[in-house]
Amino acid sequence: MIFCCGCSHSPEPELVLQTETEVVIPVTFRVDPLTNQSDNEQLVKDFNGEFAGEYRMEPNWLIESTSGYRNKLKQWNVLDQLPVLITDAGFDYDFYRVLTQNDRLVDLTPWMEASDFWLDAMNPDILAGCADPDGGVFLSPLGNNIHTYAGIIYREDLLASVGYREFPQTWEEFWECLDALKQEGITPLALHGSGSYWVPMLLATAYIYGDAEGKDFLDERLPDSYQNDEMRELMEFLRRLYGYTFPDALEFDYDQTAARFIDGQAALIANGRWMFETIGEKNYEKYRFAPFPGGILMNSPQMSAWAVTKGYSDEVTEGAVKVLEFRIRCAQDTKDVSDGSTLMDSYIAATEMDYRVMPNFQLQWEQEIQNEFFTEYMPGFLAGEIQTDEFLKMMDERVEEIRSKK
Amino acid sequence: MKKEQRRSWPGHFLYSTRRKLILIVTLMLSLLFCGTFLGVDQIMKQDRYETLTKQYYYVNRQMISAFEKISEELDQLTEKYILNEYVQKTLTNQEITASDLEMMKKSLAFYNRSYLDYYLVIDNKENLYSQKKVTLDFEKFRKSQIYRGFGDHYSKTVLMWARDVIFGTNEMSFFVVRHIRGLNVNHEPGMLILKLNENLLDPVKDSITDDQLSYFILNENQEVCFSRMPGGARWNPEEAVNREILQNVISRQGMETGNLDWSDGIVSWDYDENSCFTVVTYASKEVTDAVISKIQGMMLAVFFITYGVAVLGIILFSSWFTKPIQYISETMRSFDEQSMGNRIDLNTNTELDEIGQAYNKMVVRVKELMEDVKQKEGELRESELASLMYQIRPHFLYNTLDTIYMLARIQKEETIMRMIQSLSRFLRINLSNGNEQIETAKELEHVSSYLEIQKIRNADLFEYETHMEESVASWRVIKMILQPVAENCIKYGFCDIEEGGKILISAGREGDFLVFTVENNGTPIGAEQLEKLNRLESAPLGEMDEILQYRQGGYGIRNVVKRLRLRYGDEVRFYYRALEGGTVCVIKIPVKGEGGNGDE
Repeated sequence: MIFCCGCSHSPEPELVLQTETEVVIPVTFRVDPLTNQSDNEQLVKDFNGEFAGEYRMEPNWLIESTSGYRNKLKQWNVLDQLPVLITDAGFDYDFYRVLTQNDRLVDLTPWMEASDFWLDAMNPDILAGCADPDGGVFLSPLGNNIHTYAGIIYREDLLASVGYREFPQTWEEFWECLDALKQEGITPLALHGSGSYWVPMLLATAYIYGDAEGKDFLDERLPDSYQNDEMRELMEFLRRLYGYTFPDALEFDYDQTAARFIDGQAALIANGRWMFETIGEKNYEKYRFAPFPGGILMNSPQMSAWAVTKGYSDEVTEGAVKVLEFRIRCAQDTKDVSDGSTLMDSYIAATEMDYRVMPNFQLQWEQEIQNEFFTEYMPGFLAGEIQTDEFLKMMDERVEEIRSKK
Repeated sequence: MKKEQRRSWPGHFLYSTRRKLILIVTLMLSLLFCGTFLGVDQIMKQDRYETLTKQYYYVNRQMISAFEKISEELDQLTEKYILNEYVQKTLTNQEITASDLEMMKKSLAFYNRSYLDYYLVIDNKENLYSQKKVTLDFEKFRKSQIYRGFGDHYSKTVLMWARDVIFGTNEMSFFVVRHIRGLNVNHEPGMLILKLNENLLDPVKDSITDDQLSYFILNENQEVCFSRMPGGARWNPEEAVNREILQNVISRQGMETGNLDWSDGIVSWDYDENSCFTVVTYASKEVTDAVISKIQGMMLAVFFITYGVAVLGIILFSSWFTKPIQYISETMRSFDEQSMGNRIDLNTNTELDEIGQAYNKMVVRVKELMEDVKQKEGELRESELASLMYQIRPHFLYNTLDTIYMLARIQKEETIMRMIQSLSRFLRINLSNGNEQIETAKELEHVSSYLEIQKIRNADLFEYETHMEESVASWRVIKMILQPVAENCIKYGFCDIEEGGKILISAGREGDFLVFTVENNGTPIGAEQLEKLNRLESAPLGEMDEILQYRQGGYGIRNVVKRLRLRYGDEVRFYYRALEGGTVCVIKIPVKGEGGNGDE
């Protein structure tokens, strides 16, 4: 997610001579199994170059899907094996609470205040969104949202083939577009099953965020009940969406579906800026980015947040904090850079227009609902075996159960 | 006769190059070995502590490393328990159903290990889950060493040696404890306790290679949780040495690693920060000294091997070197007139070849010189004879004797006539016109003339007879060899008689020898004189004068023998034998071919 990094090749081991005074910072970064690339390889090189002789990041490159990596984080935590620097620290509120309530994370406030630019580089809203309700700042997101918006990524040529020069602005036009694609024999949507149903849920939440009730519902954190009209609307929307995707979509997970999209098997997908690296610079000209119909973008600063864990020496902790500061500086330096490709230009244009930002449902709802309940019951719902009200009732029952477990 | 050179004992012992070389090498290597041995011994004694403690440090590190493997293994094992779905469920507020319990038991049974006796999961509501029926008094449990092992660690795997207050054995055992934290949601942690058996230390036991050392592992409370003694002996904490070892280690517990050299041996220990166990290695005095002895033994072996190789090398080299020397020596030693044709033939590609060539040249030169000497001697003798002949003026002498003979005949003096006749014959043969050799018949005529004159001079003192084989009559021999012998018969043989003496002279052939015998019936020759005379035929020519002095009347005989040996070589025999009634002299002269010696 660091633009200055421009990762274009898979991580390779480097021969690094360690000086006696050099502090080694052990980190674990995810490598995308599809591309065999990590978003953070360039960051490691740049940091090690800038702090040569003083600090050195020593990454363990973990080939893992996003959800797999997040599960690993949880396991490392209970086994007391967390690396000093963790990414995706704010993806799951429950996990974040596990970390903070057990004093597993370093409060970054003193370093932020001591830094010349850290606080200045941070958007106040983002900083406020990452501050812990009990005081202190344990998450370090990027300073601005420029790199973390999510919307629609689509194949310009495929949409053009059915007469769409621009992406539909309204949901009515959206359905028409999908119909047109379908009629042309093009699979309109790249959707998947399992997990939190990320791509379809992005579209569905964007759909209901368009009206006031839907916005209020999505803005509510950890709602007590899902049996409401907004959720009914969302569920119906979901069912309709799956009429425009691969017939076997439920058998594939997110990573496999993303691969199918990049392979040209579908016309559009809902996802964020971070998918651009997976698409690859050489393909940027084929794609465009657009907000969800109704001028909605999704953004959640916690999603880009990293954190420093406790249990390491002062020198290593200091080094890890330096990495966070360095990462923000890199992102700050490159926030407005466009490479002239249609994909990047359309992304920047989307972020500069008058849009509404919706929260990430993943951070608003119970993790167990997303990761277990959806996986368990969504296929039945989509197949028509479970009715909407029944589904939402079961959802509420699971919420109750989850609450009782806590 | 060869003179054997007598040598002193060391001289005799050290005779030969080989022995001298061996002695030198022995001395040099011994000196070198002694110096090295003493030096190394000195240095080793100084460095022994340092060397051995380094070695024991390595041994300790091996054991610590084995311990680390155990820790890793336990980490991985406890991970399985902690991440187990049903164990995680015990932390939540969900009800644990009988089915859950069954599934938990089944899934945890998969984690069985040879070193694992029992597991116990205590959830955050103090419910117990174990394959063994366990009841726990939590009040007591919280005071136990096992409970204290959890400490403030978030989820650290802690291995400990503690009394079993959980599973009912009440014995000291290894336990591993670890907090069970909630994976997804924050809960009070549960506790995982695994009771382990002695199989746990198999990797440590496997890492032990030296059975001569004693090994101990101490826990944080300095309790011995593992021991391995030499010869399978059992650890006895009451034993004085063991007590002292522990005291020494415990008193230095603050040090992570350490060594101590004391009168009973060396103690080395290493502290594993991760497990908080201390590994101790103890080497008794016998063991530490054995190391030095072993090294010294090795040095001794190296010395003997080196010495053996050196001696073998000397023997091989000297054999190669002394063989030609012995060959030269033998050739030189056997050098005589007959072996003058022998030559040394060496091709060793060394300076010895030059010695051989020099010897060959010398032999040629000696031969030349000998021939030269012989020739000069002959020339000198002939010159002397010619001079005498000239002085005597034989014709004048013969004419004068003829005149005297005529006068005696006129006056009818028979005796004088006979005497002058004999004298004239004697002188004619004596001079022989200067010839050195005469016919055997002439030699007998010559001695007869002499005896005729002596017979007249000594009235009827003796009679004489001569016999000669016809075959040897014309053989030529050097002249005047019988006259001195016959003279000695009269002079010494008949010295005790007035009359009746008899001299018998014969000449004949025996094989390749012309043999003369001169026998008399006078007083037998004395033993002392006989020994002296008989030594003449074999004594060195230069020593003959010493054997028989001029005044002892041996001049004539000595002169005869010398002349015979000079002329005919050492094959000539000349000896006397005492008979019962007289003495006989035997002269044997080698002849070449049937025609005698063939000389001029």
